[in-house]
Amino acid sequence: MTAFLQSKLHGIGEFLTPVLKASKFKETGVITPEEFIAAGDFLVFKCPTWSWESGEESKRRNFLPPDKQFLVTRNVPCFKRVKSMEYSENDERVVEGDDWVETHIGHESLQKTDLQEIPGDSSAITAKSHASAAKDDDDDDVPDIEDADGDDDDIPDIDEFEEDNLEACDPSALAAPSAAAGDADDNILRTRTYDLYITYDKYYQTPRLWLFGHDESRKPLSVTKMYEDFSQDHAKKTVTMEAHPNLSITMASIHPCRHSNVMKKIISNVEVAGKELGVHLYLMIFLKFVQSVIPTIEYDYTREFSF
Amino acid sequence: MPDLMAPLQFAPFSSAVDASFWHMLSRQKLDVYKLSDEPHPVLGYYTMGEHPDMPARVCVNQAAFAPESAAASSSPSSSSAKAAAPTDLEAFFAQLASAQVASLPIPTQSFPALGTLFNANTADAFKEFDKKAMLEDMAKKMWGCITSGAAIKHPALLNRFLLLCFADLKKYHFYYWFAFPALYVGELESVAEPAPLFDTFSASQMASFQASHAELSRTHPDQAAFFLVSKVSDDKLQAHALADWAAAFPAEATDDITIGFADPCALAKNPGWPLRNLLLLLSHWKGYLNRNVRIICYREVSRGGELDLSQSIVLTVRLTPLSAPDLAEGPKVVGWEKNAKQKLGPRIVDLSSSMDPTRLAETAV
Repeated sequence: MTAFLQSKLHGIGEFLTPVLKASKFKETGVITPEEFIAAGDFLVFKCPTWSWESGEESKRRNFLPPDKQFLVTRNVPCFKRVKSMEYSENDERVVEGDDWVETHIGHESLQKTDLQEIPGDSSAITAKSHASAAKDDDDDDVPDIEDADGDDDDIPDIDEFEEDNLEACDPSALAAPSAAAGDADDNILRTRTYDLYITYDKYYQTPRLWLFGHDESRKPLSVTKMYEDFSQDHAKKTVTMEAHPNLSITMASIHPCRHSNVMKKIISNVEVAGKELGVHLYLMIFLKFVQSVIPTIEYDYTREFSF
Repeated sequence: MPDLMAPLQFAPFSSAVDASFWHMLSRQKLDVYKLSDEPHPVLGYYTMGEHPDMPARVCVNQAAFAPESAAASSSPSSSSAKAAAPTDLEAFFAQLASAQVASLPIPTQSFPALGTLFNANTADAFKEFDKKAMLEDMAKKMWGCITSGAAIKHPALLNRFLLLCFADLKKYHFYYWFAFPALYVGELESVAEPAPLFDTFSASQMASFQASHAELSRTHPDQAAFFLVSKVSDDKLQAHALADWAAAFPAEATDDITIGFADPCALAKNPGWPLRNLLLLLSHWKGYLNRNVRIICYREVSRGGELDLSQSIVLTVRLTPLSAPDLAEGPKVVGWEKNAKQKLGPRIVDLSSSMDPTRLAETAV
């Protein structure tokens, strides 16, 4: 119930919070909608896999231009599960105080050659153990919207809809690699994909990242399955399920309550080094630090940017 | 005469539907379509191939309905037209295909796919759609665009899809089946092994090609998905719109015909699906040349702020005229998407966890 109330209160709070006008980016790490637009334009320019979108007309936010309501990049591959990555404390680096832990720092560039070395597909097993662990854990804040493995029960069987003789076998069509779901013994990578959205959170005055995952046959991932792709340190603390402000769809979101603190510290660190951080770089830095929550999702951002 | 290779195989499109598309379809069904089962235009898109392990995708999201809604609200008879589908879908598509891509609600660096949506009122009606006839009907319309020359001027008319749906609005279950029509008259054979783009052209040819394709995308974005490539000099290539054949290849007898297309597939040996309709167009249009044609399967991907062309490949096929019977009967068509089990069948998606308000309230507690 608390989460529900908090979410409602956040809605009210967001309604009452005046739109930020003057730039407080350097002092507090928060940004104005104008700065969000500027940083978003720069991101789209640098990384054109990101686009601005307008979302639902009835949900437009009037402090943002109609055609620049949020940023999105779709079908971002996620080749392996966080759980299947070898991970030790050596891979971890506390970025700023205890606010943010950067995880999997040795795993930044996942090359295809590395991926082919993954023996078998262990994710099916870890998925089950993770799901049952999640169920056993009463303190768990994660709502079990769906069981990881039992979510097909409600879906009507559509085998009878198949029409095998609809068209002749076409020798010019390349057959799909046999990635039959449930066949856990093969070596085929289970390539999930994620749609990533960045909205402007008016209450926290920071960007906010949203994720919607799909399995290898493009079916939406259940919450439990998505948690396999979030760093376990962050998953239950910072990732929540909420309705996307511009689309009437519930999805996972990295809660923005810590964002401005982390940004402020990064900015002051850079300034100590005698350099100045332009606000247009805000989203690039933002994407870099949320990478620690979703280390295996390979979205595009420019790693090598200069402060 | 080089030895003929194995038949050329094309990587089919896979569908990718955003949850926001289903939410919008539910709204359209309740507010606009109601019980009508008229076809409606929807706009999808694809991008160039990024990774060999990722399927080539045609995506649709909430913006897929925007062109039809915009047309309905701007039409003079809009008072009664809200529920009506555009009466002439083909004319509507011709208009979309000629639109500047930047004005279409699709992401930057993507290419439009023109879809025809049939939404059934019941699961039974969905099952009873005559899929064979629907695909053949679409093939006829596409063949019409090829023979009339409309597809040369507006190549996006070659990128079509059919989408059959049934929305169970009480359960938030959506049944759907895509078809990506590919017209063909027989198997095609490569006359040379597919080769990386970098092995075929010099660095300066590559750079000039990339720059001129970028220029074509800027000045004529509707011509960037299918294009011609001419050799201006030994180290300079140039991209042209399809309709500029005479400018690109002034000597028709030239042995140096190169065409290209924005390839949604990233495999090293196979081209993506859109090439099939382009090759059929060329066979009909320029098949009398009876020549080898080089094809650039163009895959330009943005990575970390850099454009990467390294996945692009070059194929060589023989351009032959269509036979009289093929011309008379029109080409055959395939394209129904297989389901996750690789069977010809629809897919179903359960969105109760992300759309059902009562379940959302439960999870919030």
